[in-house]
Amino acid sequence: MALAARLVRQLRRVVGRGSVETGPAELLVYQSDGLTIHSAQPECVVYPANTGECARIISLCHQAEVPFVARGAGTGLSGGAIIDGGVIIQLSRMNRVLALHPADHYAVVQPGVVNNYLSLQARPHGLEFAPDPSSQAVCTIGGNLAENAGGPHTLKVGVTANHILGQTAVLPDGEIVQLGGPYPVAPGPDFSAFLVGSEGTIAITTEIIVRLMPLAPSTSTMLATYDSVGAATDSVSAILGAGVLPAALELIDKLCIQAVEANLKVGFPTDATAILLIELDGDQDEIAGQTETIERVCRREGAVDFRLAADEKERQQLWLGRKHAVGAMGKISPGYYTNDGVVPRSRLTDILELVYRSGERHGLRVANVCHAGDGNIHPLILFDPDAAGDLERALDCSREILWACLEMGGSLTGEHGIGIEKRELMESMYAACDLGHMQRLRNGFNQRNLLNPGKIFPLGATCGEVRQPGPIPPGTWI
Amino acid sequence: MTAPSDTPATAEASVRRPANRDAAADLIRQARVERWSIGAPAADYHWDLSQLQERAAFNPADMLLTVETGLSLRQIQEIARAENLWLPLDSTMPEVPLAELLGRDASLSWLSHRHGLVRDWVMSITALDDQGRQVFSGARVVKNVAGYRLAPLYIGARHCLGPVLELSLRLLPQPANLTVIICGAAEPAPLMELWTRSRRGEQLAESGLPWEAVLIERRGEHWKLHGFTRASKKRAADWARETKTGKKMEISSVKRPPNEDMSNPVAPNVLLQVLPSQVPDLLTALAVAEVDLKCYPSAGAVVLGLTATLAAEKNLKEALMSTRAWGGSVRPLTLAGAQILSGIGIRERVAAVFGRVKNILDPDNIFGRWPEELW
Repeated sequence: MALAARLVRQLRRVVGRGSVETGPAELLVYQSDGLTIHSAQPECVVYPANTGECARIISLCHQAEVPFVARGAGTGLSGGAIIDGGVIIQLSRMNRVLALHPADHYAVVQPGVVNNYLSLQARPHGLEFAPDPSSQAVCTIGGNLAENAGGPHTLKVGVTANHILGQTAVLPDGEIVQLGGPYPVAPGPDFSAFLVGSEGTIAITTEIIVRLMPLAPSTSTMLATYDSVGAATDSVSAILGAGVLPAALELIDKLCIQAVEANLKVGFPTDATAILLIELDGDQDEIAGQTETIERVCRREGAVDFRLAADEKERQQLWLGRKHAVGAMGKISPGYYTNDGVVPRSRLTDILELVYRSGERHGLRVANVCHAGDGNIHPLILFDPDAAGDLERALDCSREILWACLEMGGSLTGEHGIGIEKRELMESMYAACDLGHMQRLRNGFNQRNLLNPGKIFPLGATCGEVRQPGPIPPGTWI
Repeated sequence: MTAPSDTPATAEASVRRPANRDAAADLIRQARVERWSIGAPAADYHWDLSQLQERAAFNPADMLLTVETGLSLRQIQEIARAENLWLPLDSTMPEVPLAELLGRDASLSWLSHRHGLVRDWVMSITALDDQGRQVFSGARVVKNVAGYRLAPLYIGARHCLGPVLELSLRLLPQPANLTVIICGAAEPAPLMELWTRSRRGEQLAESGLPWEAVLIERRGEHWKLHGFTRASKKRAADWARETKTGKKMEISSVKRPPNEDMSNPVAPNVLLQVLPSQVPDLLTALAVAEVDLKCYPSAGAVVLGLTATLAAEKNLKEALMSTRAWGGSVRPLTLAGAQILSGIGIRERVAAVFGRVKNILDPDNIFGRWPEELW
């Protein structure tokens, strides 16, 4: 159904003629987020510049009963920021750091501020924004908030929820609410924290008060090499069991190492079956002792080599390899599909064994990169989009892995969110009563179901709100 | 041990002590039929969940503990400590059932600046809804973003969204080393200077100790700073020598973090929140009033044991007004605190959005009225 011309005119009055797009070519890029197997056709994209404009846009959509969704950089991996037949509120113009308060360790930012840009602004003051998803060079703080993003360095300091102090948000009827504040600690029920990870289904955040963390005085980055994945995963448990909590504890397997080295040549050992990238941060004396402990533990568990990054340059190289591990798949496969299931740490060996078995059973290669310290896997299921049935097998393989995560007592998602991608699996993770309770809140705040409809919760069989996976256009990188 | 009274009406006759989850659910169904309320401070009846003592799951390798909320924080710490783990939380209420600690969010402590509040460590909760059904949110793993996180709504909600029966808590390894530096003074200024130095040390690679926390307390005329560092006792002593405050510092090593909120000099009923950079001015303003307090300076938080007599003092009232003038907040932590503040004309704006949550999840007020006066 075509969006009413009247609404488009009203939106243009709010943000200006040049900040509303309705042309098919301009809308093309908004059909998908980072997970391109799901697509939907918006009818309009509007670019507000501030909270007031957002509120007016939302009020207009509410009055016209037109669905709408907020979108940041579009790097999401669950189909969470797409919409069929409605309005995309694109927050990329809201990209200002409104205030930086180094003495009190916080900043006020608009949601379109890029994650890494904030840390670059804070670093001269000895501070940083701690959550560091792999897409941090492009993803935005608003998206991080919506998905409760993580990253390799959240093992020690927590995910986005632990770094949001407050926010200004617009409810689905256009009401602006101020939540939390700059105080480092605020006891009591926390609606702002509830919004973190709600995937933009309860409110649209327009200003964010973020905690900034002091930069670690020292870091120590280590690379442990293994000739079996099991020995690497055993080391993960052993390191934590030895009383050491690294800042990051990442596992990368052989296929992934080979892809990274083919692409970037960062110095990963190409003959290794698996590596652990381990980083300690903190006081120099403390991490010196912990480094010794980690080396002893890794060697005891079967590491065939163990080395410390000699300097900052080598450290940066190692992290470059880790952060570009997913992108490096392009060197070894024309397509891949990934998920972000979570298992209890003690089941990491079991789930990775299952991942390899599932890949074999489906006739697909699977590379692995994991936030091992969190039990958060990222199997990279390789397939050929041009090969008949390959995508379906990749999706089957992914579903099998996620079911196994649940059977092992884990979760469907540790970072990417549910979005469209995993909504039908939610009934495998939660009882109907649990989902019903969550939906009461969603329906209470989002009474007309206009804000980001069709996300998180399973749909009825007849709902065709967003198209199911269809043929992949040539050249699409999944 | 049951929770200390939050309302004058928490007499034994008004307490309901279910033996298990089913019994708790039955009480809610009964309340619905018989039209009484249970939970919130102003409800007809109040929960005592101390009989829910099950340890549902604990594999130390997963660093995650799932327990029923009849256990206390002290019991949790003992379970964790036996496996060389630690829940980096503290409370002025270490002995009460977790359900009560959660209801009040009584987790502001010397650890809060670095480790946050209880909501930062809860990975899942099981609660009862207004029909008496068990509802679960979160996951029993250390990382999860599937579905809504209900814990931040239930924690601090004074039971008015329903009782929390079970929760999963993320744990950390015990710190290998902890040294406590204690410094006493007759006024807050030298202690604030010490804290300022410790804070600079957090940011500069080349100086300072690895501070875990700093706590400043005042009892009567005596001010005292407790500084916790992961450095060795010798290094802490070297640091103390170099700071040249002219104050004698007492330095001791502890094998493990203390598990209760230090010496409990005040029964906190009022919380002042300011920015950390405003704390020196706030303590100076409070110093002229004779109120016992505990200050978590890096968290910008000061808790007071306020009495009606003290509140009537001009100096103290001016300090409270200054807090608000600086953009900070003055919040009651108990109904008694709310009454005292109300008596001197201080009342914070109620966040209406919480009222909406209450109306959505408990439209019939089965769990009692939302205690607006506490927010």
